[in-house]
Formats: sequence, structure tokens, C-alpha cells
Amino acid sequence: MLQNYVTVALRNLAKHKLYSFINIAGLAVALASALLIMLFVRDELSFDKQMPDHERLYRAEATFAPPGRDPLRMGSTMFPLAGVLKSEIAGVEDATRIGQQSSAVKYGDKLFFEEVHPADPNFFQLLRFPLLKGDPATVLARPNTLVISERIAKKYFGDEDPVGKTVTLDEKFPLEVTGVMADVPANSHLDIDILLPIGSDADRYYAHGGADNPGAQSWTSINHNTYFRVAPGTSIAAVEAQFPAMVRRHVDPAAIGLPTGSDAWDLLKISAMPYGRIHFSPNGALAVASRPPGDWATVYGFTMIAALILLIAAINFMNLATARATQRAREVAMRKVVGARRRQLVIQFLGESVLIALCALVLALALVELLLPAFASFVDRPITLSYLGDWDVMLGIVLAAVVTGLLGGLYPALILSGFRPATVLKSNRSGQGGSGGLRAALVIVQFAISIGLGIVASVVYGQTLYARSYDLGLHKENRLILTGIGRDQVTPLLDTMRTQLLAIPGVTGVAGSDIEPFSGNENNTIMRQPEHPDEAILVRQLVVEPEFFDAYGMKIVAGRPLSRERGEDRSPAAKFGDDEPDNLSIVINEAAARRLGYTPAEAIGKVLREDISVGTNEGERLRTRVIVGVVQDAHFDSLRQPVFPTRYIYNPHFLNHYVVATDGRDTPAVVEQVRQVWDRLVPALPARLGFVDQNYDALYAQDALRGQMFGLFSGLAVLIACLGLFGLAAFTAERRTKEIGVRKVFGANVGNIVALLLWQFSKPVLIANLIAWPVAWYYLTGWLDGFAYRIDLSPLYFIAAGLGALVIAWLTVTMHSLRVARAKPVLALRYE
Amino acid sequence: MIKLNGLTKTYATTEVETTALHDINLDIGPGEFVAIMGPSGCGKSTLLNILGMLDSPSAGEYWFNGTEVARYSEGQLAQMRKAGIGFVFQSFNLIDELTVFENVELALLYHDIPARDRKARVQAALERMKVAHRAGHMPQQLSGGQQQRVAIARAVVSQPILILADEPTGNLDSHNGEEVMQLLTQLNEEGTTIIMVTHSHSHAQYARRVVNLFDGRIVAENLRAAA
Ligand SMILES: Nc1ncnc2c1ncn2[C@@H]1O[C@H](COP(=O)(O)OP(=O)(O)O)[C@@H](O)[C@H]1O
Ligand SMILES: [Mg+2]
Repeated sequence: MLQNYVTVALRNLAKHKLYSFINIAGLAVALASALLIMLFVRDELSFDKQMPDHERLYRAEATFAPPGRDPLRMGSTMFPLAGVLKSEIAGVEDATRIGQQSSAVKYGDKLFFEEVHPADPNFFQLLRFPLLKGDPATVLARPNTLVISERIAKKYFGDEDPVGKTVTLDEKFPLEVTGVMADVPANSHLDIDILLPIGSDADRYYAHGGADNPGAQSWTSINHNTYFRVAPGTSIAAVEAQFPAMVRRHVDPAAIGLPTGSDAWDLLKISAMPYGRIHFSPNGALAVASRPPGDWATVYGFTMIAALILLIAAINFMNLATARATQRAREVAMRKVVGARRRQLVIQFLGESVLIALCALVLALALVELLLPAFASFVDRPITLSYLGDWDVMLGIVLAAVVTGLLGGLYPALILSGFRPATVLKSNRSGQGGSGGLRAALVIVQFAISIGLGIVASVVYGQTLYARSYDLGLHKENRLILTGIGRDQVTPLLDTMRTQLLAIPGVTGVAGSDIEPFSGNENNTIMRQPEHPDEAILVRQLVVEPEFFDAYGMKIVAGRPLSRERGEDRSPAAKFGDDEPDNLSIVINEAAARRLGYTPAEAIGKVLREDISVGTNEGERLRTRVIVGVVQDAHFDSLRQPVFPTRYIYNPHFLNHYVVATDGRDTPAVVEQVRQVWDRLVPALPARLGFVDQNYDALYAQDALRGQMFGLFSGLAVLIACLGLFGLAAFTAERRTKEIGVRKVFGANVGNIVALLLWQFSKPVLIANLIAWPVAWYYLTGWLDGFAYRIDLSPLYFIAAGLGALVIAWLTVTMHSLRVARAKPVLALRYE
Repeated sequence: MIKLNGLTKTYATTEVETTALHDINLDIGPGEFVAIMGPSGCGKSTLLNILGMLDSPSAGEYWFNGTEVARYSEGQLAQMRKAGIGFVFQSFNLIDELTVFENVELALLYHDIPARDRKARVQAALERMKVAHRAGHMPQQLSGGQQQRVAIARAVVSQPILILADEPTGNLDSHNGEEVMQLLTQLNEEGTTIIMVTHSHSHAQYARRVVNLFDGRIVAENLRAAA
């Protein structure tokens, strides 16, 4: 009995090669795509779940809502917060901090720049990353010690035992290695390899002035992540309920430029993010020591795509199975005549269909094996698959295959087994089984999905292109960034370095600044117009050298640039919090002029007051500034944000980066010579070089990756839908052979026949457009609203996707209809 | 009107080569009513299909109204068919998805006839075949005899000069068979040339000339007096 079923099933597979191929290949590709997406999504969801006790751990997050701009969401918080949480907030057991700085790390002849992380001594007691050497309670207890990861241990010490060895930071500070931690897993939001205790001599943030350092007191200076653990059974809502009062106790609105009497909680909100959800925190992008965050939109989006791809493949499966089942009516009738019962027939059809689905699954697993390494490096995550270890995912995909198989088999099983044998046998026809309407509806669904995905993919791509080619107001190409010029050892050499850099052939300009474009860093200050002393205007501030505008190709639209020759153009403040005289020159951008209510020309000579105590915990200290120039607007952030009102000031003491503008003719040679200049002047520190356009591209790396993945999988979805259509067209052409023959006998030519079939297949595509367009439009309007600078949702995208689908449908159908239409009619009529 | 010279048709399948028609020579004049008879598999349908230009011969000449069409392409043949041949089949070959009216109309669809005229002609043909009251039905809802009358309506609606009928009574009971024969005779009397394949000697009586085929060759031709 079973053998008979299997024989029939296998012969059917072999006999209907096209049908089998489409079913199996389409489903295999769909299952493989779904599996890859599932692995990606599972990796995203697994972040930080491995941390012991993570249910009681939280990261404190800060949201600033300065008047006049969008809230600034940060995963990092102010230095004093951890102490305040511990001492003032009921329910908080313990809190710890971690910061970040780039330091030159030296051991023996090994010298590299590394990200190092000053952390509180209790760090490993709260966040229990496993230590291979050292005791979590004491490993960071003494200042000037170091905990390194296995990876770093191998890099610097090879096979030696690092514990007890001394490493030099920034050429000055000896630190003793006291512990080795296991490499932090790739699915941890924290990305840390080297930790030292806060307050060590090498801790740049805290060391200068210790606890009295103005930054260490400030509630508006954000530099560390704060984690805290609540006592067992504590409700986090009860903890968070204490935050507004805490902020009001510690933040004086007047000190940060808000009108007296205003509510500090309006400006600054603190919240608690459960440790296991930090990866998806909307504040995640601005946090130190962290990997780029994920977002729910991506997870949902790709889960959705996986489901849609599976749906498309399942529809193919159903469509082709029902279509072909009608041709098997005679087999069913015969089986019934010889005594098969309905239940047996149902089982036979379901079994056959599940068998095909399982064949597809095997193929899908092979595909995934093949593609996984490429996929993992594409999404830049260490994704692997082990059949036994990942039983949950495997179970999911097997279920998906079986359900698809059952769905595909269900309809024909029920319909065919319900046929009365006499009708089928007597009528001498296969009949068409009344499933034509269902098939048409399913094809419409497939095309609606494909067209929708096509529109979304092309708009996402269009926006990405737009962002790349958008005129940012500054030249980012051929701009080399040399980082670290603010170091104590380097500052005295800057004049020499400038001269030598400018002497390199191909270098067209050199200029320093405190912040490099597209780095995600920003400093803000508060300015007031003398006419409106109560209105605090939040302004982005940049410290630059006078050549900055030239080096970035930014045009002065009114007034003049800053100058080295004029004393009033240069701020004498040598460190954070130093006093400055009145009437220093500043250049503002067009956005600032607009915000102040001036045309660029009117702005020249105007005086503003700036609170130079912002960021310290001192009271307001107002100094006047004179606007001497207005420079064109330039984007220093992603296009998701508008250009902020910005103020440029010249101060030689706050520079961190040189931009080296080149003519772009021989970039490698210039890079090499810049490196040589640095090595000659600062042999103790390695040169750190980057490119402005690479920083810009990095801003869009996530977007670009998502866009490409989206494009890839929507492409696959369309491909699978086409496969199905191809099969259905083949089937239809076959089923309509007699009709086509009759039409030809009575005078229809090839063109008439092809047109007939084209129209039949155009209808579902046209209807699918009507469904897909509004859905895609709705989704994309929301998505594009997230960009301050965006493309318009042109109808062209919709028409193009619709036409594309139509053309694909036509191509598919034409191939078949031509073959049938060209045949001599006698062949068609003999078919019976 | 029709002249076949040494017409041969062979089917080449992978294993065997079948010669379905062997050196057929035949002359049929306008207004004739010819019956083709012979055992199953002797080549009757093949001959009729070639005469109807649904298929091409392997060798020999086929003159239709003074034109040699044996080497015509499918496109050219379609043009010729359209110009003047109507078909009736044993299994009716009505399209299940179309109504009776639409099935008949189909024969005019590819003829560049304005819709109004077309409808009128379809209506007239249906009335003539006494199936006008069934115009809106689907073919399966009709009896075999009614279906064949619809098929004849479809064959005549384009006013062909030649009607080819392949066992038109083969699937019908004797009463319905007689009726179909009457209709064909009537058409012939109005001047349409008719070539019909049949197994029934009594139905062959309606024709004025009988061609007997055996194993792809013409073995006998009997002329009978006009009935
Ligand atoms: N398309 C074809 N391919 C191969 N052989 C065919 C084909 N059509 C007909 N034949 C063969 O040609 C011979 C004549 O067939 P046919 O004209 O249908 O016979 P009849 O109509 O007299 O019963 C038969 O032997 C048949 O098997
Ligand atoms: Mg025959």
C-alpha cells in the first residue's frame, strides 16, 4: 500500500519535471531565506541574555530635551549618577560605571592604539563577565591596574602569562595586569577588551583634578555608561518613580541656561533600560563602549519578509498542486472504484505534498550550509548553525516545511477525494475542479507582495543614493583625518607638523578642529541675544583653526573667515572651564543666522552672549561674542538630522583632529607621507589616520546593509513568485491546449492566442497593484519621515514596480503561449 | 476545388515511423458531399486534418481552389482556413468555459466583423440549428445531440465553402445522428461542399460519393446517384 503511494508519488515527480522543479526549488530557496533570516533575528534577540542575573540589571539612560531641537537620546549618562543611584534611590543595590578613551598601549615592542575603558572597581561584580584570571571582587580594586581580554592577552603577550606584567599607557602611565577575562561574546552590547579602574593616572576623564574635576560633578556632561542592579523583588517602576525628584535635586535649571523656575525634569529625563533589551534601546547609538545597536524595525521587517517569502512559496505549492491535481482526477477515480476510502486518499495527497516539502527542506539546508559563511560576513555577525544545538530554529524550519506541505496538499486532497468517480470517468474529461478562482486570488496575493516589496526596496535604495549624492555643504572626498593632535606630547609640535604636512605634494590644505565631521560627537552651548536675555538658544559649537572652512570647501556667505593674525579671533582658554575675554570673534552658519532672525549680511557685527560655564557645575558666566562671518550650512551628522545652528570659534588648545585636504591624485602616497611626518615628530605614538568620506559611509553602513538585505530578500521573493507564475502559465497553457486548438481551427492566429493568455495573466497583476500601492505608500511615508532630507515618494517608483511585475509576468507567459500558439492545431485536438 | 496528388503523411516517433497516408490522389469538386470510410487507424482523420489544413502533408501536392498549399506555413494555413473552412468533430470540441452563444461567436471573432453583425449571425445560426433557446447555457448543460448542433452552428456561422466533419455522429444515438445528417444534407443542398468521415454505412448513404481507405491507401471509390 505505502509502496504503491510512494511509487506513484515518485513517478509523478519524475513525470512532471517542470512542476517538481518549481515546487522544490522555489520552496527550497524560500526555506533557506527564512532560515537565514531566522538565524539573523535570533542572533539579534540573543543579545545580553547570557549575562547572569540580567533580569535585575538595568542601564540608566538619559534623554535631553533642550528647547528648540529634537530630544537627544543617550545610552550614556553623567558621571555622578552611579553614586546618587546607590545612595538616594530605594531598591538600587549597587551601581557601576564604564567609560571609554583611546590610548596608546605599549608592552615590549608592541605599540597600538586601543579603546580602553575606565570602570568602577565593582564592575565585574555587577556585570559578571567571566574572568579567566583574577577575582571579580578585587581585580580592579587598586588604581593603575588592568584587566584584558584573552584576545588582547594573545596580541600583546602571546603565550606568556600576562598577570603581574606591566603595560604602559600613553607612554606615561605604567599599569599592572591583574586579570584576564574571556572575550566578551559577540552578542553583548558592551564591546570591551581593556579595563582599568576609574581614577587611575591614565584615566583621562577623572585623573585631572580627581573628584573636584568639573566634569566629574556635572550633570550635563555625558561620558560614562551607568549600570545598576535592583534588589530581588524590586519593581523597576517604583525605582523609576524616584527619578524625577532625583533630577530636580541635582540639576539647577538656571545653571544650564533655562529660565529660573523651569522644571529640570523637562530638560533631562533619566530612565532604566532592562539589561536584556539594551541592544534595542532607542538611546543605544549614543553610548560608550558599545556595539552599534539593533532596532526592532529591522527585526520585525525581516521577520515579515521571511514570512512573506514562505507565504509566496506556499502559494506556489498550493497553486501548482491544485492545478495539477485536477489532472489526476482519473487516478483518484480509479482508486475509488477499486475501493479506496476518502481518508486514505486524503492521506495519500497530504503525504505526497509533505514529501515534496521535505525534499525542499533538505535542499534548503544544503543551500544554507553553502551560503551561511557569506551571509554571516555580509551581516557582519558571527552567525553559525548547528543542527542539534539550534534545535529551536531547526524545529521552526521543519515545521514551516511541513505546514507548507500540508497547505499545498490540503486543497487537492479534500477536493479530489470528494469527486464522485462516475462523473470523472464518464465525462471523459479532467474537469477543472473549480479551483481556478482560488488560484487567481492566490496569484494576486503573490504579486501584491512582490510588487510591494519591489516598491519598498527601490525607494529605500533611492533614498540611500540620494543621501550619498546629497550636497552636504562640505567636501568629504579626499579629506584625510589625522587624530590625536590634542595630546600633550603633540600640541607643542603643531606648527612644525602643519608646515611639513603642507609641504607634501598633493596636499592642498591642513586645518585642526575639536570634532571631526560624521563622528557622532557633538558639543553644545547656550547663546543669548542681548535684546532677548531670557531666550536661551542652543547652538552646536565647534573649535576650529581659521583654515577649517577652506580645507572643507565651505563658502563664506557674508563677512570674513577667522584669522590667525587678529588677536580678537583667538580664544586664550587653555583648558575646559578657563575664562575668556569679551568680544571674541565667531563665525556662525546660515542656520544660526536664521535662528537669530538675521540675513547673513545683517548678522555681521552683531553681538551675542554666551554662557561659558555650560558643562561645569558653576553658575552662569556670560561673555560677549562678535559675529564676523557667516559660513554656508554643512551637515556634520547623518541626513536624518537637520543642520543645527552652529558657532565656530578659534582656539589652538582644543584641537583633536587635523583634516588634510588632498587633490586626490595619489592618495596612498599622501597617506604614506603623512604617516612619515607623524612618525618623525611623534615616534612614541602610532599615527591614527582616517577618511572623512569613510566616516560618512559608516553612518549609513547600517542603513546600507539593511537596504541591501532588504533588496536581496525582496528579489528572492519576486523570483519565487515568478517561478510560481511560470509553472502556472505552463499549466494553464497546457490545460487550455484544446481551447487554443479550437480557436486556431476557427481562425485565431499566434498573435490572438498570445494576447489571450497575456490578458489572462495581466489581470491578477493589475489587481495586485491596486492592493500593493496603498500599503507600500503608507509604509514608505512613515519611513521617509524619519529623514530630515529625503526623496519625494514619486509615483514613478510605483508605476515602475507595477510595470516590472507585468513585464515579468508577460515574459513568463509568452514563452509558454508562443509554444502552444505556434503548434499545429491538430496536435491540440488530438490531446483528448 | 480540391486536388490531391501523391499525398503522403508519415509520423515519425522515436521508435517507429508510421505512414498514415500513402500516395493519395483525390479530386473533389465544388458542391460535392463525400463520405470517407474505413477501419480505425486507416488514416481518415489524418486525411481530413490535412484537407482542413490543420496539419501539413509529408509529401505530395494539395491544391485548394487553384493554390498549392502543401508547403504553406502554419500562419498561411490559418489565413486559408479562416477564408472558407468549417469543422465539426466527433467529440464536439466545444469550450467548456464559454456559453453556447460564445462558442459559436468564436468562429467569427477573428474575422473583423462588427459586433452587431456578428451577434446577428450567431443568433441566426443558433436558430437554424434549433438551439437558440440554449444560447446562454454552458455546453455541459446540453445533451450530446444539442452539443453537436451547436458545433455545426459554429461551423456554418462563418459561411464556409467547405465543411469537414470527422465522425460527427460517432458520439450520438441514432435519432440524434439522423438529425445531424439531415442538417448536413441541407447545407450541402445549399451549395456547401461537405467531406465527412463516418463508420456508419447508413449515414454514408447521405453522401453522393464514398471514399474507402485501408491502411493509408484509397481502396475504392463509389459514386452513387443523387438521393
Ligand atoms: N500525431 C501522431 N503521431 C503518431 N502517429 C499518429 C499520429 N496521428 C495519427 N497517427 C497514426 O496514424 C494512423 C492513422 O491515424 P488516424 O488518421 O487517426 O486514423 P483514423 O482516424 O482512420 O482512425 C494511426 O496508425 C495512428 O496511430
Ligand atoms: Mg479518426
